[in-house]
Amino acid sequence: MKIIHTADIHLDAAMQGKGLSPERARVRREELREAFLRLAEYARSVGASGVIIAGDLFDRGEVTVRVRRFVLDTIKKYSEIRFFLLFGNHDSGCFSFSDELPENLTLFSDEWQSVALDDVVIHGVELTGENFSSVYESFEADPEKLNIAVMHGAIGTSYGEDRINLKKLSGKGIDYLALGHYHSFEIGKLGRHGVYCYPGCLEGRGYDECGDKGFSVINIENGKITADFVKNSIRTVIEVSADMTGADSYFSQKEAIQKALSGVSESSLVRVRTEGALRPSEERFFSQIERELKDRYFSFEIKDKTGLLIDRTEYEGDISLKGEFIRLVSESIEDPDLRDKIISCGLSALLGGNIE
Amino acid sequence: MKILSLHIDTFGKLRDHRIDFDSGITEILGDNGYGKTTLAVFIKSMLYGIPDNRDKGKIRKKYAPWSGGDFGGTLDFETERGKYRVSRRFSPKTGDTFELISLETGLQSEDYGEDLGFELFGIDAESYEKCTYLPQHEVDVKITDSIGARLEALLIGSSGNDIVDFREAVDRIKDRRRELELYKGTGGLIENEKNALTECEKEIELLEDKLREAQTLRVEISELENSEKETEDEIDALYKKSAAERKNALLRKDYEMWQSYVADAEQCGADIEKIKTEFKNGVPNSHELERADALEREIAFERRKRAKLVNSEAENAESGIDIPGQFELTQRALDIRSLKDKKNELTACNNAPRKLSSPKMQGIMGIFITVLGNLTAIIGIFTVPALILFGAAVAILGGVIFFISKPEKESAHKDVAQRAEKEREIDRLEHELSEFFSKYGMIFDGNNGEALLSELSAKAQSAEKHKADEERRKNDIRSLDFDIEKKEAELAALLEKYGFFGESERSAREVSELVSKLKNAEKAFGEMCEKAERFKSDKEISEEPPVSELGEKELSRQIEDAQRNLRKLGSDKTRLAERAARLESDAELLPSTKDRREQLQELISEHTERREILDKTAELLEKAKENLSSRHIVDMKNAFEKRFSAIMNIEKEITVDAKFEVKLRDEGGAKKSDAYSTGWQSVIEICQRLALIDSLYRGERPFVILDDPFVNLDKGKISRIKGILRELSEDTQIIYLTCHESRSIK
Repeated sequence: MKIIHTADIHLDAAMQGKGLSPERARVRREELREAFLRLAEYARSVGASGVIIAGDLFDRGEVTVRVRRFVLDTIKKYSEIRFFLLFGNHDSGCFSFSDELPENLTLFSDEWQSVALDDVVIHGVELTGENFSSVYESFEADPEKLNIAVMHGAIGTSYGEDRINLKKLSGKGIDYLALGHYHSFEIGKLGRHGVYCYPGCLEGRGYDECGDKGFSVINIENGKITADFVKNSIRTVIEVSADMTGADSYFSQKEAIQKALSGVSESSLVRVRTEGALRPSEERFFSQIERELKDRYFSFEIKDKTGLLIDRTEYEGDISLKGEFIRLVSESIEDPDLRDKIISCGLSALLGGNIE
Repeated sequence: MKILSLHIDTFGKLRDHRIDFDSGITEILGDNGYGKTTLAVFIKSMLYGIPDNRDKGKIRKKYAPWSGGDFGGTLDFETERGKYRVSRRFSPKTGDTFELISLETGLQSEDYGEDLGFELFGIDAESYEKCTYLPQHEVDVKITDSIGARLEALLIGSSGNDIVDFREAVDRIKDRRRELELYKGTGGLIENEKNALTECEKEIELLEDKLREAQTLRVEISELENSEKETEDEIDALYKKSAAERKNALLRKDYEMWQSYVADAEQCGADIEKIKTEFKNGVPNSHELERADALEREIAFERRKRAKLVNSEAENAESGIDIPGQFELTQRALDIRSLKDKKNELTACNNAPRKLSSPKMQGIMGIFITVLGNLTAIIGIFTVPALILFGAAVAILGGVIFFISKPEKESAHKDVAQRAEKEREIDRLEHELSEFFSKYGMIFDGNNGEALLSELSAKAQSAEKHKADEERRKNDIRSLDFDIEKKEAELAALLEKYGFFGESERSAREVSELVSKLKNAEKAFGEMCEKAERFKSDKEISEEPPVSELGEKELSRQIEDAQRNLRKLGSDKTRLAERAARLESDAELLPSTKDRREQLQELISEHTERREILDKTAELLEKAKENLSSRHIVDMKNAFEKRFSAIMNIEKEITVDAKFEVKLRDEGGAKKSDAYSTGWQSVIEICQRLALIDSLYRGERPFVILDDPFVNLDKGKISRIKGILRELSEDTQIIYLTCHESRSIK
């Protein structure tokens, strides 16, 4: 028996990244919906009995009708599969009173609800301000079957409306804790015999969601539960680093960036993070390079994190304003990033260079 | 520090070139294109090397040999530590080399490192250049600048072309900052972005409101649909109810009809009973009724008849005619006749009396006429009353004739007596007749007796007739009364038999009517009962249909209301659905609007950070300048003042303010010296350099390289400059480069 476990889909969410044009952002949202469809189709293809959505299916409470209907229509279409939906911290109460909920959809509420699915019992509860401390005591596993619990929150040693005390769930008879909240796949032990799992999101939306994305396939066989990650995303969010140290020309900088981009698919959402350090007098051509490479990828941006290469001893003997300025900045600004930026700006101004 | 000599292997256009320097002024006279600047750069490169960075790479490119090979040379110099030779070789292939040899020992020395210049003077290459190198063009360019500006420029700017003026730099920062955000007032990119963000937030709020409103509308639509369903069910139920009601109404109608029949029958029954209460002793049979009715009719008839008879008496009674009786009339007629006779007799006596017919015949005739008259009168009683009178008159006539028929009386002698008697009789008769007639309102004139009598007779006849009539009438009345009484008695007995007496008295007609009514009622009752039964059977009425709570009309009204309500629900639903669809369609813009918000927030964050950096940069640049100024300028000012005064040897007081305005005090007061002559400019430049050196150099005191700075000065001034330079050279090594002998200072 198989059950698909997903979470944090954030349908209709705003897309992040200045490198994403409005049109591409729109496409990306459509791709999110397609990802959900692919998941359902995959579930059907492997004969999955159920699909667990552990929270944040939508991005916010105010969900457009189109998206809401899309989800409900999809669930209806795959009527042979039982869908279990838990609302998370972002999408609580998304379905309105007037929505006709499909019969194969179970909505978890703020009290433990248990549904038997062949040899498995799926329990789910939505954490709220009122129940976040009592849910641990009120959980009751079925000792005759395998138990899957569905929750949304960050695991840890404390508990709250979006925090789950993992220790308190240990020894409760949970074989698989289907979680949502973190957007990257993570699996770990729950007590002696159980596991917890964050399936991650289906498609990355920002540069904090890099890498392959997908869902978890829960395999139930011979009374045991295992889980595997299945990549589902059609587009990858990638952040690469390019060391700019010594790249004192446009060509050298572009070369370094292109080297960092080697192997990156053009369908990706890419961010190049420039690192290393350049001298104050070495001009940075990142804006120009960004413009040139923008159309090569689905989304492209350069984040300038290149430091400023300044030998302060070099300026100790500089009686000029430049020297005094650098000394002053070094003494008065503690944040190295800010310090470099101020020095870079000041020197650029003094040297007649471009001021961003 | 003093330069002793140098040797250029290859550096720019100079090759294998050696120069020895004096400790004071070393003049190098060379043609244009000699390479004076090259020489200055060489010296600097020997002291500081040539940096690798892009900007300084120009120097390498500029001064490297065309062949691309190595270039460099040596520089011998003396410091407090000793005499040294620095060798530098600049190689694009193998890299730069540096070697320091002690001229005293001939051995490599580590007294100074590769950063020789900094180690010697404590300032970097650019600062060294500012202080020690006075290029030719600088005098011309800054000839109108204030000393302060120049000093500032020297200190804060650069002798090269790669650093712009400080103020310009700060202004550019501030300009860029203003682009992001104005210092005062509204405007700038950040503000525009914030405004755009505010609009975006409003738009999002509006779209979310629309979405929420749409959801609320969907809930309302769902409720309306439920209401529609309920109303449709209600209408169905009402229609069913209405159909049932119609059926029930028909049943009800039939039932009521039957009930009305029953009621009528009951009413009839009640009437019968009521009527029967009239018949305390039973109901007369038809024969009795007929008899009673006949009696009553007869009684009524007879009463009418009696009434008539009574009325006629009343009429007669009202006439009040006093009429003599027949006897009296007869008597009077006799009297009149007698009178007449008497008169006639008298006349006859006077004349021949007329002979009547034979007395026997007269007597028989008289009797016959009398009898005839009586019969006629009797017949008149029963027939025409006028006959009574006529009969009476005839009877009287007969009587008269009879009496006349008696043998004549005595004779003539009797005549006189008879005449007197007659006259007396006549008088008496006239008197009696007159009284008689006057009783009846008539006037007897003696001769109109017959007329009067006739009139009276007529009246008497009439009266007799009336009397007879009256008598007859009375008899009739009596007869009628008797009859009536008899019949009434019979009727009363009859009626009494059945209790119709006393308070229950009724007439026969009434009884008859009552009986008839009873019979009719009984008949009607029978018919009604039958009708009711038949109706009940035909209509299959078994029980009373339920009473309609509402009634057909009310149900129709309710159906109409419900249908109207349903139509309203439908139109409301349509209206709400259209609105919801519009709102939802508008709300589809939400995700892209949120994208825009994300981007705006990112931009604002980025630009705000940038603005802070710019602000901080400008602030620190200003502060650096202030620090620098406060640290050096005062010293430089004092040094400059000292140098300038000494050079100019002006008795007048020279003051240099913080802005380096040179003021000369004379009798007229302090005068600015902004508009200096060219000669003054040159001197000022040199004094600036020296002031810088005085105040800035922390180590060895460097030399000053003057690269033909007095090109524009006339001979007189140059002459003066020479003297100044000699004075300056006492404590500062001066390397004076010129390309024209006229500017030679030797």
